[in-house]
Amino acid sequence: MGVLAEVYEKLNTCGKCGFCHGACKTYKKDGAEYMVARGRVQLIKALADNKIDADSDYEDVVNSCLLCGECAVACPSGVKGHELVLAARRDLKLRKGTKPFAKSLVLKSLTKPGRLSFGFSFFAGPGKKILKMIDGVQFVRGIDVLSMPAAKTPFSKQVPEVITVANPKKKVAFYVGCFLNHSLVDSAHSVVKVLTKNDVEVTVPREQPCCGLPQYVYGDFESAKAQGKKVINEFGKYDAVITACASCASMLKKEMSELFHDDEDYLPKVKEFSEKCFEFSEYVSKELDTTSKLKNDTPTIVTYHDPCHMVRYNKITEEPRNLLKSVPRNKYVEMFEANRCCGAAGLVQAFYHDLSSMITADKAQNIMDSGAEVIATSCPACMLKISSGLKLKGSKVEVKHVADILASSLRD
Amino acid sequence: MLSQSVITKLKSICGEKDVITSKIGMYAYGYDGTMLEGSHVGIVFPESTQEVVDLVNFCREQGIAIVPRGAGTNVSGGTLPSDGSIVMNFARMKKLLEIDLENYVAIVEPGVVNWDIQETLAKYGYYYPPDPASWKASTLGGNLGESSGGPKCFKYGVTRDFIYGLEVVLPTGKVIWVGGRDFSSEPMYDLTRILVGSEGTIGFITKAAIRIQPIPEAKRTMLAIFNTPEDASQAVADIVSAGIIPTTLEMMDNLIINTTEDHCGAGNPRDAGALLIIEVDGHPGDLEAQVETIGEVAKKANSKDFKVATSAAEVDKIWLARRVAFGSVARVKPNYGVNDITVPRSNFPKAIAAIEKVKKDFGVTIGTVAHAGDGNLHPLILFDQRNKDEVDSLHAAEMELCRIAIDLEGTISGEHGIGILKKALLPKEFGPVGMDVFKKVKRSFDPQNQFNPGKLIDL
Amino acid sequence: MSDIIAKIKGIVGDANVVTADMPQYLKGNEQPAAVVFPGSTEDVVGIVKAAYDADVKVNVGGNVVETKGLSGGIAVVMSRMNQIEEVDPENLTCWVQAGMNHQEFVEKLSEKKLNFPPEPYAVSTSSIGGCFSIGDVDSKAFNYLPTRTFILAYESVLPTGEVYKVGTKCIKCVSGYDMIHFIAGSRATFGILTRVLVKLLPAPQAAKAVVADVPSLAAAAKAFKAIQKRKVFPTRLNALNKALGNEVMETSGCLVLVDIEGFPVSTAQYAKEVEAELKIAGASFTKVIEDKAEYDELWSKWLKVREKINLEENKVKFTVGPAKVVNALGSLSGIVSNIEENPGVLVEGLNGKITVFTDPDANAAAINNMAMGLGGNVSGLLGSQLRCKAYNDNEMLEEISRVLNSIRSEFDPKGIMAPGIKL
Repeated sequence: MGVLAEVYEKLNTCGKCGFCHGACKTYKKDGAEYMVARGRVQLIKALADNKIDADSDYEDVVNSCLLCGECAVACPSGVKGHELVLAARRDLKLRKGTKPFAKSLVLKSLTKPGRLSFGFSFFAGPGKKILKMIDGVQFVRGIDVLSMPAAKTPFSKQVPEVITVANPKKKVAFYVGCFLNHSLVDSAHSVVKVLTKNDVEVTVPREQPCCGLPQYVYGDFESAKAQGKKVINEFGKYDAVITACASCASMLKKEMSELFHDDEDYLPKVKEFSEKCFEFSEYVSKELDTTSKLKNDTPTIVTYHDPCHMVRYNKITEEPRNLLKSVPRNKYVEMFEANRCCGAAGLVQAFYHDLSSMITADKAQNIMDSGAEVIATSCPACMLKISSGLKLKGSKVEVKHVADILASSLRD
Repeated sequence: MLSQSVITKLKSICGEKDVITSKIGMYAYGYDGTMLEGSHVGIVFPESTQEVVDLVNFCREQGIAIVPRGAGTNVSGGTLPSDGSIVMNFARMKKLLEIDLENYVAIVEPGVVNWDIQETLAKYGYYYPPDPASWKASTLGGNLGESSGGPKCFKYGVTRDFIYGLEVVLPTGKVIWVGGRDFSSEPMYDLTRILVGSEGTIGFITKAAIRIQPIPEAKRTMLAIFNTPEDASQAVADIVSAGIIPTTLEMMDNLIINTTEDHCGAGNPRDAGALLIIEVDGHPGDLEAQVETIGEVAKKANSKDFKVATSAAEVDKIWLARRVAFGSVARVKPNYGVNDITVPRSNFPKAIAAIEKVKKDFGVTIGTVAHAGDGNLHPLILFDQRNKDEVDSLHAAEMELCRIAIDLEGTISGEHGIGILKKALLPKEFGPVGMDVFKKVKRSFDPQNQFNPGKLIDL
Repeated sequence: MSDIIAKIKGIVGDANVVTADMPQYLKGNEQPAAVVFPGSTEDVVGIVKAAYDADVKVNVGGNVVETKGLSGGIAVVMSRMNQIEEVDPENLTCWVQAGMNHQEFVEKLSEKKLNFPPEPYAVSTSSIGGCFSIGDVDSKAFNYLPTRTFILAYESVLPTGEVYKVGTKCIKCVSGYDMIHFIAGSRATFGILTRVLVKLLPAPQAAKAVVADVPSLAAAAKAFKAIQKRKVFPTRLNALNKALGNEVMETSGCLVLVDIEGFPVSTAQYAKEVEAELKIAGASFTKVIEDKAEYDELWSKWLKVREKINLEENKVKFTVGPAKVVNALGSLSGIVSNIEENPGVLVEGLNGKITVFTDPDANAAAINNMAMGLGGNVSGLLGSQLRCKAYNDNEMLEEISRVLNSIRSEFDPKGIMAPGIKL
């Protein structure tokens, strides 16, 4: 039974009522029973009971889960399907290592800033040129690769380590996160602008280790723990740590304690660290008064997409909406299924791209139906995925980070 | 095991992706919402009526039985695969083909989920009244198979009352339309009504014309707290006697009140014997008087408290406990068996008393939620599926509940169907002549017993 | 033959078997051997068993029996089994014998402030048994649902002579095949209904009627559409052309009859809105009827018109849906000429249903094609057959026929019941 023994009790709580079917986007798109929490949970249990083998079909079942957490909300018996899938991924990792090669490469690259940096800068330069030469390659696996921004220089190297302000009222460290650091650097600049315009001194530590979430969700707890320790070593000394990536926020604020739950000596340190980590909109709403400084001349209809890690992991939903509503002349509209997964879901978009793209298409359609001109969100992965989805549908709706919208409304 | 040539043929009918014979497929389709397991040999996902026809014809030639399935949420074993059968999963045949608001009809495929229909209709201010508890998951095909009810059906009726017509593939492989886009189009015999609730044993529904209607203009939600379930059921009877048919009349007993308080702290008194959630809908001008009457009735029935929601938030608060009721019992034991016995409204207090006796006689914990208006009870029997003794007590207690329902002039199934679980009790409810009549029906459509064999009745 | 009559006399008593002077109990041209009046379920069992053994045809009626195919057979008249056995106000149910007169039943319940909504098929003769064996979709069906939804349980005698009981006082029951509702519309081919448990509703707290003299059926149909647009759904929303309307009251155009049952505030509001829309439609006369006696008189006149329509052999009923009635009336004029001057046209606005007096052999196919063009069809078995033919789908036509006859012969292997019914 291995590590599944630890969750065996929870596997047994599933009463097979099937109420998760309505909550699961992968099931909604695929329709097969093993593509829904009930099926996944039953198969994980079957594996634990030695009734089935961990064959490649089983791996697909476990790896195609978005970990969006919707099933847990729908479950009357309180089964947390995504947590059980996480345990199953851990079990698979221990059984077989991380497969396939591509996934292993990605996960390892994320832990090695040098390699990651090289990868993005290669992509920004020669990589894109090569792609452009291949006729018709615009969307690879549902992601708009040609328009995907890639920074030649990571954000953390574009700014001074300490960005000072005239009368600092607060001081924070900015945990940039891989996506904002290497790809959506403009949004990272927006974060800094919003903070500094509100008299916050921002430190951007030179070392920005990966938070460990990508390794964690594929069951590589050892690497994830190593990353977690690196992060705490770098950022533990600051009074407040801000991140503008929902996924990183989830790892820093919450998941890390889960990861280290079996390390009694280190756990208190993790908890202490998590206490001072804030998601961008959470920090801005709580600590700053931005409203009086916001100006905007162009009436804009804006809507918000809740990243899974915001709504279900961090349970932050009102703050970003209130910030968007606080911008003068913005008309906020709520879209249908705003809090459902956009389909990005870490590496699911790469390895189950058909499925992921169908889910993104729904999201794009909902955005278009809402009448919004701008879709704001709090997660760079969602931003990229949603941009691609909208582009595939020929939509001109702009995708922005909440920080971008605030930043552009802050006048000098 | 299916031979390679059979698998190849199946794939040629419905496509490579729509035939599953993998090990995980065998396991994942071997169960439904019950504790039973079955062993089939393959799963097919038709995406059109023609594919259903071709599959039915091919399987008939091969002597393979077919078990239809939607989301597999049923709690009677109706979609449990029989040995050597092929599961026909309609989950990928899920188009909403047409919505005709002005004529109050929509045409849908069987795999479409009830909730998805509701969400689409809601955009236009319309709805489809049958609302089984599983509506966010269960397919319309499944609702048709069981003729599902729901909280609203006290006033509006069950699935069968909202079906105008069906396109059906029969065991002969022939396609027929029964009914039409209105209630007057049956070919004399009301074939739609015999097909609805037939649990997939006489025909496979490939399209349904459903009746849709405008959402009522106004709604009022009330909560009444009682010392005893008897007081609550007296209130139910008196509301109806006062000439009011509420949309919903949901009851929860003391155990459920307490488990829901543990779960979400809805704010209901833990010492209450029962509570009623009452909803009326209709023209806004009519509702004030109805609310007043219901308040008086509740008072007369010794209610401890009576509240009328004045905002959407208060409506949510009243419904909160009911929504989490089923799940909240998981705090007491990991699993629960849900029953759907139904008795005449006047026998409701007797049914409650009989459930008390079952608790003692079988040493089981039971919490009851009920659609009190129509006498439909859901006694939730709590157990742990890993404990064989508890599972045995569960089954014995469930059988006893069914016997109680029959003795109280009720029925063993108000909304979940017979499937496999309740098949043994059917002769007690219907007697030899009644059972023979059921066989006549089955034989008329499916003499070879190819469609969902062993469910509902044996030939 | 005399054997079986003697046998039946032995069962029900000589006084309850009539072999001469039968016409008052019969409809149609053929001559049964006897008219029999059973007084109990046991009587019915005896009669059916005797007929089954002797291979003699049987048909049944409340007061009057259809004789088609019944030459030399037994006509069973249920009028002696006319008792209300139990009214259960708490469960809103009532056990009633099948021979109870439908209208009398409605009136008796009304005295107890209970409502049995289905309209009698033919108000002067229809029984409760007949009500369910016809299983009509009447003009109140939009709000109250069709007749079949009012049967909760019944006792019948199968064509093979067994007593069959099914159903409970519960409005929710999904145990076994739904034989409870399947009986509705089966016209005695599954046997003879002896007792029925019907579902009742509390009497409406308020009722109003609106009558109007509207220039044309098309104008009435437009008003019906406008009324529904206002989200007003009256209990009945009917229009009669001049010939039929004049049996209720004299009009210059067509007669609109609107029934509004419900609660005090909404009925008053709806009556106003309905009247307003009818005026917009050009009504030369409108009236809101609030007085109970006047209200009752109006609807009893309507029921007589309904009887006349239902007993008319030369008619075609079809449905196109509420939104398409205006279009259908326009096209109908091309088939049956001037509908305003026709001997009978009824429009049921909420059901989107039109009944027109015309020879079905001549015009049903054309009417069906027209209705199908509007998303509808001719009602009932005929409509089902015409639809298959319109699609040139012989396979479906044959399969439906095979299914209907296979069900029928399972219940009635010797084919003795309701010989006039051809499926």
